Amino acid sequence: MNSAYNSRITLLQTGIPGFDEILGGGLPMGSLYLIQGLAGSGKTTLACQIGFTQARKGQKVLILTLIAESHAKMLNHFSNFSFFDEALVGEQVTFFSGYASLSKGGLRELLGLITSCLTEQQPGLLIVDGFRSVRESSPSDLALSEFMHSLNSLVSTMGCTTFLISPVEGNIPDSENTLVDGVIELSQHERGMRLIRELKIFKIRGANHLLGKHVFEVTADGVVIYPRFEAVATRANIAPGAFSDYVSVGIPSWDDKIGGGVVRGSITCLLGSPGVGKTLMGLHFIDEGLRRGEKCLVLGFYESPQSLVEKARRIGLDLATPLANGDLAIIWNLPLEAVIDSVAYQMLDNIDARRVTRLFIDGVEGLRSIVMHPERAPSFLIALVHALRVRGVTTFITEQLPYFKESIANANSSASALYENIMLVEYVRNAEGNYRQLSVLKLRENDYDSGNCQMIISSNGITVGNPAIITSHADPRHRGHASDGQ
Amino acid sequence: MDSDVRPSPRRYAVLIVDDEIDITSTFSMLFEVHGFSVRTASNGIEALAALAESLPDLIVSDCMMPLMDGLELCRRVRADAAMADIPIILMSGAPDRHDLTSVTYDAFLKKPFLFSRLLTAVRKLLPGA
Repeated sequence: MNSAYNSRITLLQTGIPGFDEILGGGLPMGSLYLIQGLAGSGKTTLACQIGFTQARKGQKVLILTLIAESHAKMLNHFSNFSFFDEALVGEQVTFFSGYASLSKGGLRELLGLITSCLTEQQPGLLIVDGFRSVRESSPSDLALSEFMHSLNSLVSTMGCTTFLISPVEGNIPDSENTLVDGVIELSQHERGMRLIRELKIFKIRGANHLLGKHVFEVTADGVVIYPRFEAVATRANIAPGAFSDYVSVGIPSWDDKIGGGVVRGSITCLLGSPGVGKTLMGLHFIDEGLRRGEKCLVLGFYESPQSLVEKARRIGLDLATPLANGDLAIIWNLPLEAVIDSVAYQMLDNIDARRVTRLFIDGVEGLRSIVMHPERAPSFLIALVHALRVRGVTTFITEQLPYFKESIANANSSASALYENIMLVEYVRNAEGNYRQLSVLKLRENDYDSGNCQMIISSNGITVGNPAIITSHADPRHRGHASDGQ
Repeated sequence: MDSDVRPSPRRYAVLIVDDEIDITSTFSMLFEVHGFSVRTASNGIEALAALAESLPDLIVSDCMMPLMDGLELCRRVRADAAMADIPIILMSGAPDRHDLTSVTYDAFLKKPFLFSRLLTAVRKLLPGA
């Protein structure tokens, strides 16, 4: 998730995975930021993780608490995170309480304390935790505005990047929000019984930040933020290259039907009923790449890596060896509560690190089912396949038709943007039984046999017959169409 | 950054002239922490009035201000034998908009700058401060 950004302003790189990408390189140094969010949203962890990262780089960090967790409790909580380093506490990271000054002398005395601390300690980063106490000390609106204005000027003049941490939500027109250089909000989004953490930047003066929400997790390493995938793609706006050569799909008789294979770097949808053989087609495609010395990747949600290896073995494909020697990798996630951006970045990081040229996504429904905001699904998938096209990764994606559907579902307008090629595999029924039929619905840049073909699965794998021997209509119980639905 | 907080044995006096109150208030707080006594003015006319009351050891003045700008203040100070030797530090966010060659000053700082740079300039002009 690394990116290079041009900024005339000196930026503080936060060291939080994904955050600098969202910020357009980092936070402008010497500015005053409000990090807000309700209790448990992760704001103190975010700020202090940046603090310890800066301290490790040699910066002095001052954590000034008002009414907040005690220093001992705070340290105890931080000790669970890998970013915490006890050796830095008291040396590079100093804890002070400012509440006595606030309660005795109000805002003027608090500002005096901060001025003295900044002058004596010369921190590169100041974190004021429990900043809500400033408002709760009941100053007039004007006095609070003057305090915010003075504080902003002070930290700017001292070149000290400052985080104010406050348990509020929303872009409210109070001086704490308007007289700071940036407002970052952490929140939680619920859907049913599921909950995810989200980060939103209301403003960062002088930064080329991404608008909108981004999902984050709090892990043993601290906060990990996933820049919203489609926003990153939009900002990068990289046009994919064009390929003119064809790659084999791994089934010679199928290659023959479609003019020698699919265009390198294209995205192919294998659309079909459950159990019709889509996954086996994908495994043939991957096996062909491995035979040609390509690095391959499978992203799956339903069948485990062991199950896929065994499935391949039963039709004579050896995936165990390339999986063991690293030519093949399988990323598998339960399609339940995984973070979709995390899955996407995990996949792209693997592609980039291993120089993967063939990818098989076994079940696009797995991706759709983990999207917390359903309206995201179409644009997320467009961004995902765009990222694959930019990398020139030839990709097969299976998409499942419903088990029982009497009529064709509404047309999926996003399918055209997602896939260069769409192959329909369905059960058809005649008097003798059920057969598998393969049809080409869309095949870009190829001459192909438009006739339907029979697809046969045996212990030697898949073969595609010509022409289809079935004359009856497709079984309506298995009939359907690609859908945007979850 | 200069972390040396060393209030001088003698309390030096600084006059800060700027129409932006956050500049005068912030510099006041910081100079006071470093042991200076501070007075402020928001333009050249107010500054001359303050100088008529007592003379500071050093003047820090913005260039662009209403009523009387920092360059005119500089000329007036240099033209008065009683004040002519007071060191003057000029500061501006848009130095190209001023004919700085038309006045005599001791140091210039382009805004924005860190206080440590200002303090270094002051200590060069006031050894022992």
